[in-house]
Amino acid sequence: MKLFLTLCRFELTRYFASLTDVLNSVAFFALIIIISAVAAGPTFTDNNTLVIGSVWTASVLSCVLTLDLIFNKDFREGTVDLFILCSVPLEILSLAKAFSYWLTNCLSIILVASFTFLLFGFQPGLILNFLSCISLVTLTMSLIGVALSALTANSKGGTLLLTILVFPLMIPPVIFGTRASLNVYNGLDSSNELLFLVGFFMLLLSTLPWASAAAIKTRIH
Amino acid sequence: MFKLIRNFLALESFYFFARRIQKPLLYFTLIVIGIGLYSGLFIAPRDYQQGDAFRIIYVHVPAAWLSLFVYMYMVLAAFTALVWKLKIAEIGIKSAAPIGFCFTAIALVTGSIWGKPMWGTWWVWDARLTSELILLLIYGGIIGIANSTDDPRIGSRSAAVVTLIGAINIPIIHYSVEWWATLHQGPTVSKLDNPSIELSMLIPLVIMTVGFIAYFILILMIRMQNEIIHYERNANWIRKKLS
Amino acid sequence: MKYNHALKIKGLNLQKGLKLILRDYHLTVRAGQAIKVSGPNGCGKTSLLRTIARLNRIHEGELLVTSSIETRPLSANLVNFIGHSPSIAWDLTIKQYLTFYSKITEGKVKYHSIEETLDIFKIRTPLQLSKNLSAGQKQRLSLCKLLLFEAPIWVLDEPFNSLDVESQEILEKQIESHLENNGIVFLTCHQTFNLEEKFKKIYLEQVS
Repeated sequence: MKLFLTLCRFELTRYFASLTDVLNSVAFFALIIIISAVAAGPTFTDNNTLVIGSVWTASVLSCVLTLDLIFNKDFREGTVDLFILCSVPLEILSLAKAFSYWLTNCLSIILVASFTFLLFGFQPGLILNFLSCISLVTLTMSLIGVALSALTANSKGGTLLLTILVFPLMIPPVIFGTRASLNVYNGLDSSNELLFLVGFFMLLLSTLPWASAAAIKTRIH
Repeated sequence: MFKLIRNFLALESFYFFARRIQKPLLYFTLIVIGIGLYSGLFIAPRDYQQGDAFRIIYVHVPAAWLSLFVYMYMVLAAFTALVWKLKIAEIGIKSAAPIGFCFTAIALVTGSIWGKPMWGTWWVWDARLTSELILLLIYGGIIGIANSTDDPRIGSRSAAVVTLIGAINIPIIHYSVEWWATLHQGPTVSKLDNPSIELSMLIPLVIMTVGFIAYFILILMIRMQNEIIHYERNANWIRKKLS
Repeated sequence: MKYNHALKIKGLNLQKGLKLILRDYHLTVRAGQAIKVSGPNGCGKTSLLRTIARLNRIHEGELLVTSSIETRPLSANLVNFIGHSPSIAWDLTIKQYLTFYSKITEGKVKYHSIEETLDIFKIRTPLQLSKNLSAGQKQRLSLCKLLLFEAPIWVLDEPFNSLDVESQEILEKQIESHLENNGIVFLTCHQTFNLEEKFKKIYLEQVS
């Protein structure tokens, strides 16, 4: 546990050294919302389903934007060697990286997205539900991102590969997350979707750290 | 017994095994696919509703089955490569991925071609088609990762990890898309295999599937021979062969 | 005499990518012995050192450590490895980096404190960001890792790179005292250095 906190602190120090990367995601989010609003025309705010879909799309895409940078610095600066030499369990490293990525990149997007919902005049019930769903979805994506970044960071065409591979893996959470928001908007119950999101997150939590560890060891040879 | 299997799977002996079975396998494949195509295109009776256009099913369905079959082979090879660290398994993954990609692409394209006259659309977001598309992307990712590093062994092992991650997720993706799609469209989307398909239509399907499997093994053997030569290019037995 | 570990390499097959550099390699290193690995560029010196440091995976062969009590496989906590590129985190200050290193190291006995280590290597600006350091300063920071924890086997890949004369002498003094404590040192170097007579030479041939 202490090791986990030390690693988180290490990662957060590195993220805050280049804070502009974090704000990158937020700017991208705003960009997508604005473009969706402009492209859909003046009837954008009338069609609430479209608004919910756009906010979800923007949040998910902004989180995916910087996934490939997770392990970039480590492979470039040689700190992966450092972790292996110090016998740091690579699974805990993956969890620490996923958690610190979530804290820096995804949390800001979650807040901005909820604020966007407020701006568009949705009820607090929907916003609360959205908060829990998007948190689970972004946590899942941080885990997936760490595993895939361990595989593709710093290699030829790595960014493209990461984008291709993230897409299949994040389809289930996105489907269920948007469904949950739409259900709550239509006044229906959304506990099934939340259950699935929690379950999917638990499944990945119990398998992906080991996949990341295997991937790192494979890359180091 | 394990020693026997291990000796067989050593690169050198596997290479010569692959060379030996290549020619008979080629003839077998040509004959079986020939029979399958002939019986599918000419012998099988016309469908009651769809006329002759349904005959593309004899390419589409075996291709779809093969795309999943190749993926299952790759999962097995990935497991072997990561747990027992056999080089032949790493070569197997790298060789099979493009074949799987092609089969998936064929399935998607023939499916669209079938769909247009039948149901009026090139594409529909139902569970099966979306899962096939996702499978295509996963194959693309695996091929990309396998070729992304200078050291082919690292590339193949990374591809093995991705294969296993995908294996967990493909059933989940399939069921979640199915759940999502049925909510939108209801039960009017027809499934590909009727549970009560007539025998005269089934037999060409089975023959074509067997032919495609033989084709897969043939191409796999050829590709694996290439990879083995690449892996062992400094070894003595390659030098003896080339001289 | 602090350490009494001897290293035995048995039947090692060293692969660099698909090339086989060493086949069935045997080597026994007694406690207190120093080895210099030399050879032309690209012949696998770094690969050999990384394999000894347990960074690279071993496909065939064993690395064993014999102490007075028992023989056991070489584990990472018996090795201090300084690589060719200093694996420092550029966004951390010197002090933060060394503190982080001492917190994540497991299974090793503490040796000098961080302040003592910085003093020995004459690093006078502990609050400077690592990315602003010169090459020589980065190398000295990387070498600090040797003195924070005890380990009987030191594996140094081109440690004298970028060092000025004063730092080179400091490092040689540390290597000398480690050898006096009966530790083992593996090293590669393209320059001559003063302690060279104490080192047994191993030459790796160019792979065709």
